[in-house]
Amino acid sequence: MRPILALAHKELLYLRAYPLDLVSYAISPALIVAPYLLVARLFGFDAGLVDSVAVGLLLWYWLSTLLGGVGLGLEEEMEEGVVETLLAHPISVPTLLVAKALGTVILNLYITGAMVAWFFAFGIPLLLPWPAFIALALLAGAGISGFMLALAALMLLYKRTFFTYDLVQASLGALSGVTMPARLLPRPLWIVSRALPLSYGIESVRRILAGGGVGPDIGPLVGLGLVYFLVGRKLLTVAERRMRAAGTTGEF
Amino acid sequence: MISCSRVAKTYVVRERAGLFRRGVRREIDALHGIDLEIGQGEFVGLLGRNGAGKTTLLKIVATLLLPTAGEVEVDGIDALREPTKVRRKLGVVLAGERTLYWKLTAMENLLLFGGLQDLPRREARTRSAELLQLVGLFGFADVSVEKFSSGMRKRLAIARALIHRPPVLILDEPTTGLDPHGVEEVWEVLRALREEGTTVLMATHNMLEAERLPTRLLIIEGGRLLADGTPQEITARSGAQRMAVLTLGSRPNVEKDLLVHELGDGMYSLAIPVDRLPALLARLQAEGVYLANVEIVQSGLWEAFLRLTGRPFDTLPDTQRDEE
Repeated sequence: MRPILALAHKELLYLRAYPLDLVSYAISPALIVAPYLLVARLFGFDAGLVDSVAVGLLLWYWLSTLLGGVGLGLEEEMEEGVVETLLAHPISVPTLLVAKALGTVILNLYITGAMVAWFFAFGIPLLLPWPAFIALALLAGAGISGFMLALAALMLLYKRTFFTYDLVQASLGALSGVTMPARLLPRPLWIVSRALPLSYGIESVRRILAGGGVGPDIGPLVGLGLVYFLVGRKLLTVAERRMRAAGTTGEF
Repeated sequence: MISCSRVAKTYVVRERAGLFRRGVRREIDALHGIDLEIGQGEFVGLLGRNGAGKTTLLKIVATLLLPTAGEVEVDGIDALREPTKVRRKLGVVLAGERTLYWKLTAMENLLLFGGLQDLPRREARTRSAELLQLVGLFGFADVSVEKFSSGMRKRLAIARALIHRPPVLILDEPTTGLDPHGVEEVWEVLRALREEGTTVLMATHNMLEAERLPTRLLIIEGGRLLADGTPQEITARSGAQRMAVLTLGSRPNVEKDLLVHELGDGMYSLAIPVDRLPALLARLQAEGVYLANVEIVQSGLWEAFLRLTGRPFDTLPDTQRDEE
């Protein structure tokens, strides 16, 4: 646990080094949520649907940041040139990624706070059952951990994976029904969405927003999440082994 | 402490051939079956030219690189099967300056890497203070590493590697790019470690460093170990010696194997191995030859290294295989 805490602490110290990032994290959510909410209002949707869009965005922004923070997390270490030094220590790559996740979660609390403040500014009070929402958000984060590991594996092998991240992030968002229910997707895409753990996470959130319980979606969220996690873990192991065999630990 | 048995490494690289064409696939044999035993408390220098295989060998011992064949043990632990355990035994300072987080202070870096070695915070803080004292950076504990000079960063990197009191320290060209003062500062730290009995494996291509620090020297070339011994032994075995160049006021009467070169204006120069210098000086004095200058040139090890590894541009090591 000590290595994870030490690395997560480093993440926070780096925020101190780049204070303008904090300003950006506070302002950028407004730029993202505004178009969706304005469109929702322009077309005369009721307050419930606006709330639903808002929650989808909140959850999605949270998960996107987590996906990037962990999946592309080693980028910062590569740019610093310290990946190789870190790998010479008795910590595994998954340990590094868990620390990244912890640092991102802490950062996300700040971003979520900023985002909620923007929602208030847009006149959306977000009357959510917050404890259940936070628990589901964390579970959904765990549900996409397989994708984070797979992205990290690609990063170890190819060093730059922004395109893959954008592709995974956009596809996950569209197919799991972030801004519209997945049942409205064409049937082939709907079938794909059924294979994504996040679809079930978002549906659960929508259900609790409508005053219901989390319902039967928790099972597929956890089960599929576990399958993706195991696949991602395997990819990461293979990637790390190939990187150590190729001698590219010091490259970026 | 370190044992390598028949360690070999082949890199596979593909040459670039424009945007779309696939280039030639090439295999480069970086190490050819290295056998090596390093005992506790030895300070071993690994001397070789660029591309000789020094860093590859160090990285294999440090578990950063997987060998193509062979076995490596550190303190009796198999480095290929139990790399994490081995990493607890090692302090590693890789080449280059970017082995630290530059935005963090010296103390923050040490505490971070102490945490990675699972040191309790309080113990890490005490140890960090000791190490900053050892490397002469105590007064800079709270200064960002980005403000440090190259030499300070190197010393801090050494302190970072020692945070968990590792029995073995691995250093890859620790003084490359440093000015003489920076080099001397790093050497001072390394000498202290040598006196303490820390086991050190250090790659270098700095002859002075190789001559002055290690208690044992390995010369590596083309992925093979060519020589093993103290710097003095290797120099003596290769037949190379430190030379003294004398500038004289008249032609001396010397043995035929010594070349006397006429400089003009009645001055002559003469090069002689330093072990023959006292006898020659006595004779010159007896003959009344005016001695204008004595200069000691080229370390003996320098000459020995060139003799063992060939002159610059002599060869491209016979280690590459091309495939279409």
